[in-house]
Amino acid sequence: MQGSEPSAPPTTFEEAFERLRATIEELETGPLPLETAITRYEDGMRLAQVCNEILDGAELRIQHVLREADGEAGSA
Amino acid sequence: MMRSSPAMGAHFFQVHELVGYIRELLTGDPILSDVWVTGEISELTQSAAGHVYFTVRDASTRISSVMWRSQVRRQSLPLLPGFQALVHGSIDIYDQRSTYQLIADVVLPGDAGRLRAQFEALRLRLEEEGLFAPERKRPLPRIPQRIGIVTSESGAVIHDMMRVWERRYCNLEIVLAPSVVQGEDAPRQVVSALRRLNDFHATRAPLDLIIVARGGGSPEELAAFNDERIARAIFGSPVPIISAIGHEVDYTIADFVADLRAPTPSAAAEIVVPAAEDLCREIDHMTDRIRSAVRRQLDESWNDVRDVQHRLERHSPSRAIDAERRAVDDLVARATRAIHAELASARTNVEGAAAQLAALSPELTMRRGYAVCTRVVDGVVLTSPAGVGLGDLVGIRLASGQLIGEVLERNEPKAAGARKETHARE
Repeated sequence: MQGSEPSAPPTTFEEAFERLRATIEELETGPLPLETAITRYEDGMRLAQVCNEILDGAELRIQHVLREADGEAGSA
Repeated sequence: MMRSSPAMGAHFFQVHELVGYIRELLTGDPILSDVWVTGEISELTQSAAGHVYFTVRDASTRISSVMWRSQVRRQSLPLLPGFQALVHGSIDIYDQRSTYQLIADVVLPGDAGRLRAQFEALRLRLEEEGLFAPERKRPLPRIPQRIGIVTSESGAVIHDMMRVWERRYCNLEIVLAPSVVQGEDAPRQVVSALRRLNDFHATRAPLDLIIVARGGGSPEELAAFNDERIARAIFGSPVPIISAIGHEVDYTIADFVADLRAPTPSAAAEIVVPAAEDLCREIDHMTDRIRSAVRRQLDESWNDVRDVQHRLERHSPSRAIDAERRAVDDLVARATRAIHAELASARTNVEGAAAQLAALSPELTMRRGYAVCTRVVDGVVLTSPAGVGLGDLVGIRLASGQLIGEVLERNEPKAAGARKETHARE
């Protein structure tokens, strides 16, 4: 299974979602060699799972607070 | 309505007729139906029905005013006695007491006129410069990953937005650049916050969009966002910007420059992300589509295989072999028939030969009276007298039966034509 993975696993939801969409496009538009179609199917299912996992596990927080540097306050 | 007496050149009215006439004069006047007046608000009361009665006055004069309940609800600035105000409305007459009054629909701060004029001048200038051009509005990503926010760190706005995202879609990274959002220093701080976010975008991690947000407030409180510095900072931002300033009715210069204007900060939070549950449904739908696409493909492959199989069967060598086998059978049958014919003709020949042979048999000759003579001792057929001596026994075979005789005489065939039978009879 892992050997047929064509590219690196997605790191973000957006990437996984976009790749899922692209996979569907590919499957729905052209006839693919059966081998490729089955690989794409496996990819698609894995991507959908990744998407769901990311959504389930997401937690909102403020990651960074960019305060004005002390010196900057009067400079603008 | 008007009663006049031409004889005396005078006009006679009923009271209500006169008041009606005056009312027509006032309400028909285009200026008096759309006036702005500046003055101090005083003698403010509110009726049980919700209408607000007040006086607008300056140093020497005053005018009675009323704001009907329906307008009071829309009035954002609180009406307070002593307040220097710019009031908009129309002049009408209150019939019963025959007093004219200002029917107010908007009350703004006293310097609103000046602010409004400044706002319009800046708006026109920036519009001509192309800062609001629709073609420079950038599209926003459907699923943002990292969002920059410029707003007050302490206000309710940031919490309201966070609550929206917690409910709707929380797979987000929020980068907050705090700034005061009202007062004199606000424009400078907002510009500085935008710069920090753009630096972050360029050097640390890309931002999908930036929201500049401020909760509702009076026009004066929102005025910072009409500052040209903020407009230019928004215009120059490489990251698309959403403005979410005040309430739905409030428009600031920042709103015109921004790539998108959201009516409120909470609305901005809603707009910029998809709902997680919609995404889940979409993902389910997509997996269904993948399944059916692959199923379709498998079916097609099966059909292809079956098709090829059928074609292969049509070209199978077993048909050719059958044909060859039939040809061989045919040949064998023909060969058999040929041999039988041959045999039959051979048999006919043999029968013919037998008949010929029979014709040549000595029996027929002997039936005509010829006999065969043999030496009895050994059965040798005698063809001359040399084979026997006198007194020997000879067998004479006739066409039917046999005789035994004794040789009484021998005539050697020295003299041609000598007849032995005559001697043998003796």
